[in-house]
Amino acid sequence: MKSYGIWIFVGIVALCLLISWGSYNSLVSMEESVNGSWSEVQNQMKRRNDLIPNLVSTVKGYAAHEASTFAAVTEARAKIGQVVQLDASKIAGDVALQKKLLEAQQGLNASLGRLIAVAENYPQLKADQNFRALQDELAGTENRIAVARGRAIKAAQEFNSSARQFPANLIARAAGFARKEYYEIPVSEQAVPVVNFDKK
Amino acid sequence: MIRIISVLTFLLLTTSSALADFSCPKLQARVNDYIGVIPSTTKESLEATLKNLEEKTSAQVAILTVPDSQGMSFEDFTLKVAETWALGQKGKDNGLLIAYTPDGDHFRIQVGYGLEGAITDGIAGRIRDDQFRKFAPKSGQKDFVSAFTATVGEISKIIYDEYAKDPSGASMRGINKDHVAIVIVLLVVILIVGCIHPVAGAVCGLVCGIVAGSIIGYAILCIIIGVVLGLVAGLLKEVGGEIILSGGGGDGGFCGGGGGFGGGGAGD
Repeated sequence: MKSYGIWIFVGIVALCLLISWGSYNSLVSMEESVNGSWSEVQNQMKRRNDLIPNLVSTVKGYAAHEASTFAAVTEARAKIGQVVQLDASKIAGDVALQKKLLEAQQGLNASLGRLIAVAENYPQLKADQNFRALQDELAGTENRIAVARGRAIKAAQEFNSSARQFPANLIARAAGFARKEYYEIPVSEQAVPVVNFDKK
Repeated sequence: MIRIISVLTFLLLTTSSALADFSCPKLQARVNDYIGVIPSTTKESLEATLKNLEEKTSAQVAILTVPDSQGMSFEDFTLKVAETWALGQKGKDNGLLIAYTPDGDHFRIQVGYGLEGAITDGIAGRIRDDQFRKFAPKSGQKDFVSAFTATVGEISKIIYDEYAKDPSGASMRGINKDHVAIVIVLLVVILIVGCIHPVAGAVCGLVCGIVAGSIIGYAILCIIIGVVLGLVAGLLKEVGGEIILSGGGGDGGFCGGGGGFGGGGAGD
């Protein structure tokens, strides 16, 4: 009887260790996924940022004197340059940093909107092939940033969900996995500035 | 031509409710015309062109026309469809969706990760303007036959050119090949040991399950599969049955190859 007891005990301990091992690895993998997703958001923001100089020089070619508009774009661009260098793993759990990312993005969109609106007064600029291609590229990057952000939030939700389930929640607490907070834009702020160019 | 610069798409995608209701149109063939604007002769010729394209370059291009975008922006909708259909080969992500809806008169080319080099957003925009909208202008008489034929023609041309430069195909993304190799080796080991003796197979399955679990995650699942596999292999051998493995699915149907999309492309 006694020898069986020991084996059962050993078996249970072994099983617990195995489950812990598995849970821990899963959580690590999911956390990396969340960090990677935020890194992807930053990548797409940087990619969008890198299109700007070309756009600015194209517009300058037709409308050199719109100085204030260009200055606003340069400033917004600099802010983006800062936020894309932040460590993605820090952004992953920090709502304040995520808001900062979003604000930089909104600032850039606003200044870009004004820059593109300038083209309304310059029909030759509107017709410029390079300008048109750049607009498509900008719209593309905007969509990509949206997609990347959506996936980052989804990854955070999956992580949080797994980290709350039993027995993973014990491992999570023991190993110090923090909940991945994410910032969802409240419905009230979802007003849409839309710049339309109808072909005349 | 309408140039729309909107902030709406990224705002929409950040709310989880956007994922709520979406019923994906069925992938029946390469040309999925749910509003009935493409006559059958054109459908056949487009199908042939796209089938040829896939055979020669492995790129999967599909056409979709839908009556509406189910309350989402057309970018969101087409991305969801492209992802659900998983156009493009897994690892190469060389899928592309050409989509149109009369609801708002929207057109979009949704480009998979692997084709983004060949069909950049700028190029996709050009195709939208010069091939599709030329024959199917916004708020005007639409000649869908010419529009889709020209669009498919141009896209095929670009993909063929890209393929000629680099026949091995685009970027390798997706599942880690090393992980797959290791798991296959482990499965074979379990089967071999299991054939010797069921209990030995079960123990081996346990150990291999642990190893597999630590590599790919889902440890408990791996362990259970490993143990069951070991036992089954041993028992089947003892019973003396024959396992006949049947081959893969039938021929003729068009299925997505598991490709990924990042949200690139252009539309209006």
